[in-house]
Amino acid sequence: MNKQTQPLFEIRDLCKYFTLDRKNTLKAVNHVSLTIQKGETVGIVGESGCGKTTLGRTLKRLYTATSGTVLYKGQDIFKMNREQAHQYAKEVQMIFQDPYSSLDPRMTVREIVREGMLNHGILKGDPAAQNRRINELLMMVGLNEEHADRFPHEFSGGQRQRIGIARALAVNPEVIICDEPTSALDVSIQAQVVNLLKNLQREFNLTLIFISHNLSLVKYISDRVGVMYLGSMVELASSEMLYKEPAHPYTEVLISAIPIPDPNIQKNRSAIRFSGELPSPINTRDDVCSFAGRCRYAAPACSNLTPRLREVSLDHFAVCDRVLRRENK
Amino acid sequence: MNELLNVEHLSINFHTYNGEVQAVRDASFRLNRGEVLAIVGESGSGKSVMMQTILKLTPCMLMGGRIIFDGKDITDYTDRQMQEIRGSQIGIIFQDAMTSLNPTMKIGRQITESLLRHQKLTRAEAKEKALELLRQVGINNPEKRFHQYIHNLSGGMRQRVMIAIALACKPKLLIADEPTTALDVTIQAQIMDLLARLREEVGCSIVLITHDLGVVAANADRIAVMYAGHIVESGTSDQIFYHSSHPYTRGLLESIPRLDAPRDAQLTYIGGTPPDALNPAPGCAFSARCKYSMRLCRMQAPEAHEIQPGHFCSCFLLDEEAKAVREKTGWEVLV
Repeated sequence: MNKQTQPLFEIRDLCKYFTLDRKNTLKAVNHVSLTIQKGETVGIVGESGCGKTTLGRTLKRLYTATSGTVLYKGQDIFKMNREQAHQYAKEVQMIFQDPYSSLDPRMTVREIVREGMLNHGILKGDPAAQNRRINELLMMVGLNEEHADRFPHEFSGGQRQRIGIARALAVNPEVIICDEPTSALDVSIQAQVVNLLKNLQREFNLTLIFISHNLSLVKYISDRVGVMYLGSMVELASSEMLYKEPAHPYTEVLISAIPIPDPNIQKNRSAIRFSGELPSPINTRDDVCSFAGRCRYAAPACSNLTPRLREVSLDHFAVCDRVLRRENK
Repeated sequence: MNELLNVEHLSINFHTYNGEVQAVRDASFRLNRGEVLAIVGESGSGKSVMMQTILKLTPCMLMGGRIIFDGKDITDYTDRQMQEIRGSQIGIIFQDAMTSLNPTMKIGRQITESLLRHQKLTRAEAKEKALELLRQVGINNPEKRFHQYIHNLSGGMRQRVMIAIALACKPKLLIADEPTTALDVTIQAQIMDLLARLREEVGCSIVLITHDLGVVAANADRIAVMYAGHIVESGTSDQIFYHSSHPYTRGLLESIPRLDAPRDAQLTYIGGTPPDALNPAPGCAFSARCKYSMRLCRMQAPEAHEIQPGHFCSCFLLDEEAKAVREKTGWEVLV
C-alpha cells in the first residue's frame, strides 16, 4: 500500500448523535477517525448497539454527521453540491443486512438491477446493451439470465443477497459498504457470498467496508479491522495483528468469546468473560474510558484519562494497551 | 437404565397451502442421562420441528415412529398427559426470549407459574424458590427483578429468565432451541457457560439445537447432524469433528471461517441451495449438492452405517462397493 497517494476515505473525528429528548443524547458514533486506502478491505466489528451500522450509513450519506469530516478523494462528503453528491452516490454502493426487506417485492430482478443504471445514465438509451450488462452481472454473482425476469420472492436468502450485490455492481462502484451481508444466511450459504465478495473485490479492485459482528468472518475477509465499543473505535490494526496481539482489553474479551469449531482447542482455551452487560450508549461521557466498568485491568487512573486512539506499535492503533503491557512484563 | 429419550424412525408432515411438507423423515436418536446432545442443521432442516413435536407443541402430523421418554412410550399421549410432563420433566428454552416470554406478566409470576402448577407449594414457598432460581442463573438483585417485566431486561438477562423457568421444576431433560442465536458473542459465551454449570448442578440431560458448530464444540457430548429432515450423521463430538464421514458434515465444518485459520486459506462452501421440502427428490436429499454424488445416490436413499461404535452415517460412499468412487474422487474415510 502506497502511503504517499491520497487515501480514498479520510474520516476525521466523525460523530453522529441522535437527540432523544432535551436531556438525552445517544452517541452512536463518537469521534471516529479512520483512513481507508483504495482497494483495501476494512472490517468493522463490535457488539450490537456499538454504532457500526450507523458509521456505515453515515459514510453512505444516509445520515448527516453531527460533527467531524469525511473526505472522499479529498472532498468533504457533507459539503458536496447536487452533482457531486450524485456522483458520490454512484461510486459508493451499499449491501444491506436483510435480503428480504432490501429488495422491492414488486420489481423484477432486471428492474432492480437496471434502476441504478438508469439513475446514473449508464449505457443510456441502449436498452439492449443494458440487458446484456444485466445478464453479465447476474452471471458474475452466480445467477443466470433466466433469473432476470423473476421477482425477489422466488429466490432463497443467499440468492437475494447475490441480487443485492449485482445491483451494487451495476453502476461500477469504487466502494461497497457491506452491512452484515451474511448474518441472515446459513453457514454454507454465507461462505458462498463471502467468497463472491472477496473475488469481486480482487477482480475490480474495489474498496470494501465490511461491517459484521462475526469476528472470524471479518478476519477472513479484511486487510484491517476496527473494533468499535459504544460508538468509539477502540482498536484498529491489520487483521493478523489484531487477532494475534490484541492491545485493548475489550478486543481480548471479544476474541476469547468466539467459538472455535474444534473441541480440543475449545476446551483448552482460557476463557475471559465479562461480568456485566453492555452499558447504555445514552449520555456517555467523553472524558472517561467507556470500557472501565467492565475491564479486568481497570485502574483508578482509567476514569481520569481521556481515551484517544494512538499508535501502540507499527500500524496498530488502540485506545488502551494494557493487554500488551501486561504481556511485556 | 441409562437411557432417557429414545426416538425411533420419527416422521413428521405438515399441511400447507402448497401441499404436504415432509419436515422430518425417519429420524432416530437416543439421549442418555446427564448427556448433552447437539442437533445441528441449517434453517429448515427440521431440527426445531422435531423437538417441538416430541413435546407436542406443533399442529403437525406424526406419520410414524416412536418416542420413549424415561421408559414410557409417550408417542400417543394426550394433551392432558403431556401437560404433566412439559414443564416438570422436560423444560424448554426458546430462541427468542422477547417473544416467548409474556410481556404483560411480571417475571416472578412467570417463574412461579410452573412451580405452582407442578409442585405442591404455597405462594411464599414458590416465591422463595423463584428468587433462588434467579440467583442461580446469575441475575443480580433478584428481589427487584421479581417484580419487573421483561422489557426492563436486556437480551442476555431475558435468556437467563427463560432458563430459570425451564429449570424451575428440576426437569430430567432440558431442550435448548438455539438459546444464543439472538445474542452477541460475549453474551453467548456467558449463557453457554451458565448452561454447562447448571447441567452439573441440576443433573439434567440437554438437547441443544443450533446451527453453529462452533457453539457445540466445547459443550456437546454427542452430535446429530440434520439435513432436509434426515439425521445424516451422528456420533460423539470427537467423531463428528475429527472423523466426520458425511460429505455434508465435512462441507459444513469447512465452510465456517475459523479464527485460527491461516490468512488467505480458501473458504470452501457447499454449492447449490437446500432442497425443496415440498417436492423432495428421490434418493439421498444431499445428492443434488454433493460433489461425490453417484448415480445410485439420486435413486435410492442410503441406510445408516455404523462406522464406529456409536458413530452412524447415512452415505453410500461408506459402502464397500463404492471403493472405486472413493479412490477416483479422493474421498477418505477418516477412522
